[in-house]
Amino acid sequence: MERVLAYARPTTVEAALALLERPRAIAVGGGTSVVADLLGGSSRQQHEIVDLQALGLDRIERRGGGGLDIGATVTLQQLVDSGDVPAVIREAARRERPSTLRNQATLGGIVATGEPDSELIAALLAHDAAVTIATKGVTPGHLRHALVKVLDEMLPLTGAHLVTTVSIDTRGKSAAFRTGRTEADRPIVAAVARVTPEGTSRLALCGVGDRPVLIGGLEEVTELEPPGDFRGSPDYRRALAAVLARRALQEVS
Amino acid sequence: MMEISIDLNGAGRKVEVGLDESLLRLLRRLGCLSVRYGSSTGETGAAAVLVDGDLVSAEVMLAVQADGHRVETLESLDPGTAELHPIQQAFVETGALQGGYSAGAMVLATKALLERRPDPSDEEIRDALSGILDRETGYVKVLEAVRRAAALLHGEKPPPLAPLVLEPLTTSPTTRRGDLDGEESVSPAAPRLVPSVDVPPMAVVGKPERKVDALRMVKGHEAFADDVELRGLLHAKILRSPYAHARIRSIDDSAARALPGVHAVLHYGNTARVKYASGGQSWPNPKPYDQVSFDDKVRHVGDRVAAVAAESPEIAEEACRLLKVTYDVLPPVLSAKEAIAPGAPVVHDEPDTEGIYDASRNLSHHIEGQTVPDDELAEAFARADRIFEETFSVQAVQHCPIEPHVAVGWLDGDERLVIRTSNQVPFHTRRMLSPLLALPVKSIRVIKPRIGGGFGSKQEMVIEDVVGHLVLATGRPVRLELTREEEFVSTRRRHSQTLTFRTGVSSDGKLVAQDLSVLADTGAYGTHGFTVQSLTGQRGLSQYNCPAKRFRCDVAYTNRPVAGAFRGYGAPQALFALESHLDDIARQLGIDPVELRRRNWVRSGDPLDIVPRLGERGAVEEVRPEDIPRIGSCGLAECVAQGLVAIGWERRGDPSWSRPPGRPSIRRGIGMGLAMQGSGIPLVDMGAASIKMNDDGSFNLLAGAADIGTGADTALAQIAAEVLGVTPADIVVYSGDTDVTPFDVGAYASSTTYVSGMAVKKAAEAARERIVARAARLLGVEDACEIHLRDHHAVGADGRSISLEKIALNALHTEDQEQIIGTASHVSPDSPAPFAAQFAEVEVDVETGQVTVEKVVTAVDCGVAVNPLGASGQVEGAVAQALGYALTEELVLDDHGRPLNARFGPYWILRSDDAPPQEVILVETMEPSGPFGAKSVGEVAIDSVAPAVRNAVLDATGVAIDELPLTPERVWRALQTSSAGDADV
Repeated sequence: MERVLAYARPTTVEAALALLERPRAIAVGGGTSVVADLLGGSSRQQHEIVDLQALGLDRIERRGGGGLDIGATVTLQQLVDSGDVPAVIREAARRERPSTLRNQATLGGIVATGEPDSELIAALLAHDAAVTIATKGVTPGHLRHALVKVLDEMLPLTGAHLVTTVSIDTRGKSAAFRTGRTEADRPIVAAVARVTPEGTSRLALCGVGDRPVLIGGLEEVTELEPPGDFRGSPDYRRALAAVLARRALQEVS
Repeated sequence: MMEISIDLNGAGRKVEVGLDESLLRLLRRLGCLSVRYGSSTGETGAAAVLVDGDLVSAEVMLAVQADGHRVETLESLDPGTAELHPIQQAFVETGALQGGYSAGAMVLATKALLERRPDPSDEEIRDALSGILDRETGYVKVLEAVRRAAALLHGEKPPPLAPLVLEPLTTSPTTRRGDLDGEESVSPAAPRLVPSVDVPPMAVVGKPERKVDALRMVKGHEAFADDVELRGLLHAKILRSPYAHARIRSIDDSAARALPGVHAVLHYGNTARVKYASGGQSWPNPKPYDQVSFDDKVRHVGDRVAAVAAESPEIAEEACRLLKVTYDVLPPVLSAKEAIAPGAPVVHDEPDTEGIYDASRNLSHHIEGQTVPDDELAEAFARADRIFEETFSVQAVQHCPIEPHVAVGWLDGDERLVIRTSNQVPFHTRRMLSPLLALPVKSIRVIKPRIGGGFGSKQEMVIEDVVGHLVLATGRPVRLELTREEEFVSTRRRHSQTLTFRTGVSSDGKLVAQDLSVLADTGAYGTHGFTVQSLTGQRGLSQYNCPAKRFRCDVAYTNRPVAGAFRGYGAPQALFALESHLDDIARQLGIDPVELRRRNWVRSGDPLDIVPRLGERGAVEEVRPEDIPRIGSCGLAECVAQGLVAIGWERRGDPSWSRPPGRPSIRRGIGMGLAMQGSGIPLVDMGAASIKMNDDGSFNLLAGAADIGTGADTALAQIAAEVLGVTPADIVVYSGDTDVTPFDVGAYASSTTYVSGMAVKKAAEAARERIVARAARLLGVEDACEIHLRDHHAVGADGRSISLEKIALNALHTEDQEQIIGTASHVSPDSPAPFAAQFAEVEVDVETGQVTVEKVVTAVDCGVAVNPLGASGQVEGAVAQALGYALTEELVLDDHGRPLNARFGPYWILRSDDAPPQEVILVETMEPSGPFGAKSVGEVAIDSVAPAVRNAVLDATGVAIDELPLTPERVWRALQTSSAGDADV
């Protein structure tokens, strides 16, 4: 049984959305998750591949006021290499995938996947990320959502929706701390803190819920109800969150 | 299908591809054999290629995605026959290639890095290689290869990577390493070497020669089991059990058989029930014979249910899905403790298994051995001034060879079955296949090509019988390659154990009584259950002298994946417990842990009195004094002395070091552990070799030994070259083919260099005898004993010489013609122990529990290191594997026996960017029973890293943790019980 029924490489977002309307359509940025599931996963679903590589969404562009628009097909390695991207996001992008996958995995894919232990998503949250989602028949710019909302309410994206841009506020000072089994391991918990030039604090965590979260401050850590697994029990993750959040906040204060 | 255009290695190609064809499969289809499968998630990096100059994983890229792009594989670098690109040259010269399975990916990663950063930092190198897992080298020499490649591309000519010679410390204690000139300039990848005055000068042995199979690996030529193309090849898939414990009531295979492209469907209903034990061990295989190719009962998630051969892997998979299996699900037992409890479900309730110790209690084996009767042991404990008792737990870990199990089988022109397989024991496998397939041994040929890592997981017949059955059922060639998940759950793993040490100690710190009891989990089948646990007893009760010792062990069946041989073979479990226990004793007695060990460790001449009581083939019933082996060559004291200096042991206890200023949550510590292993199994392991001389004075060495990436073929070539007065390049090695090479037990028990190496030496000596006799005649010398072979010549006492080429031509073509050939076998009554002293420096974050290993030092006595670069590479790889055991690795199952982390992300093996620096010190001793003084080195360095790390955590925090791995949470929880968990204010 063929698992891929059709393949298309549209050159416009509109064309991609039209393809994504089809019931078996699935968007592929780099493919590190989708292709892995497709070829090696247990699912027997058949798909029509909509390859996003020719959409021209692979640019990082500065906006005024410290804003930065990052195209959805910008790869993790592009983020790592960009001097315009805040250091904490560059480092999180480096940690997100090893060298062989970083040139394939895209920012849009990372956001759309919303992995619970993604330090990169936590770093984006700390930098007030907003996600532009194109939807068929609607002007893309009108569908810009806070990343928090996307994570909480909109994932997984299905049908004719496409992440096109992730916008961040590069200003301020940010720092990240994490704990894993080794230095390079995925974090069990990571905390990213940022202080804006206006003095407002942002605190984001990963490894404490179904998705990375933005919390109001250190005092909210005790209210977290993390799931547990073999890498860390709920109690431990909560304790880690408190320690790492404190360190991150101290670093930026 | 779709036509795509790619620029492949500089040539435009238009090719038809399937829409769900991966770039990996396309590239291999196009002949790029350097691109290799490691997992379907891209996490091993073995399939890394360059697309538009960027490193990507061809496993997780569809071929259609590459349409319009430039693709480069290792094959693009080929500068010509026998020529090397500078990056390839660097990998060869640094010893960075062991199995070489991921060599293509590593070379390409280096190319991509150096094109961006011609002078990369170490951090950049580690990051660039972070996507390419290497289970063999510990990354030390790989990093050096990248540095060297950068230098070569700059036009520099870096010096060869030669060992740095150190002065011995135990014979001249005032000389220190720092007194030696030039040390600082030496690469960290170069082994340190402490020479022995007992070792005579040699021309080839002891030199860092390049691997004899380097070209094949570094250029991506045909090398591995899957690198063959066969017309009419069928693809096999195995349907595996979703249940940990179930009886198969029926299998309806009609829909699967009806699927177009399916050629065979095998299961218990149509396959002969022949009992066997899968462990690759000498005849007769240790019992129980508790397996059959396909059973009507499944005993772990991932157990075999059925196998299919079809025109493509996808059709085979679909056929597996169409099999209608009706199970009666049974309650599982998922721990050894539960398994032996009264009323536990019985894992092996079948009537036809022979040799289970007590099937009703799920005991596959019960092992006992003691050096004194129980009453004497009790008296010894009664005499002790202090008695210490501790219980330790060690987990199940997987070997994780980057090359999974893969085998290709076919019928040759004579309709004999040929199986080309990634397997450490080809001769054992051939013998074991025979009854299962109802074929005589003579009708089976097993070929072991290059192996991309084994570590014991391939010391079994894990898939070859399935391939054989399917070949015979279809008459077609059949290929079976396991997925990474299958590799985790359906091959083999290390035995998990619970070990309790009870030790009596006198007031002067001497051990007076040791009692070790073990409960081990063998999983669903008992393969290696007896021998691994016997070795746990041997290793746990051998390296320290003690007048009264006892070992007792129960080995339990459970419904977990099957345990088997794994590098160290029972020693890492035993030595984690023993070396942790000793540190705790030392701490409670107020004795320095080195000093406590020194008062007790074995020395040359000391008896290994537990060994005959726990032999490979069972205990000797009445042990005579002559049955007790004694320690021969022993460099342990020197290993410890060198290691203490290299790790900076004196920093222990210095608060300015152990509590670094400005880092209030960090504690530093240093720990150690000692280890000893064996060199083959005495009077069991046999190796044989044959050496024939060619027209040009070169030689073909045919060895039964199985090089599984360890460099064994190179070491054997060096041994032969040393005898024959040539270079290793003059020795063409072919090994591990049951049709062509003499018998050898295969790669296990650290036997290859010591046992097979001696067979090679004896064969070479036999050939030399013919050469010098002819040379004497040609030179007119009466006494052939005066002739020596060196520099490709036979040289007489008077200095006259004749080339080996002339001797060969004379022998083959001219006069009194003969094929100069030597053949020999070797079995040793001894198993001389290699020793190691291992040290770890750690930082512990007391607020999070995270342990970071900053450095590992291993000082090892492996006799004479035949190839110091290869030997140190073996040590570095073993250490990296052991760090996974210490810190991260554990195969975790849920309450139903299903794996939770059967992939490389959640199951974490060390990557290049978190492998710590290492220092390897080779302490030479002259082992008289080994070839040119050699003992073994492949296993000993995996044994005591975990206790060294654990003891370093103890030193740093005062907290003793008796369970592996030392995950952050486990350490954090231990710290919560003490004030050590408080950060400095």
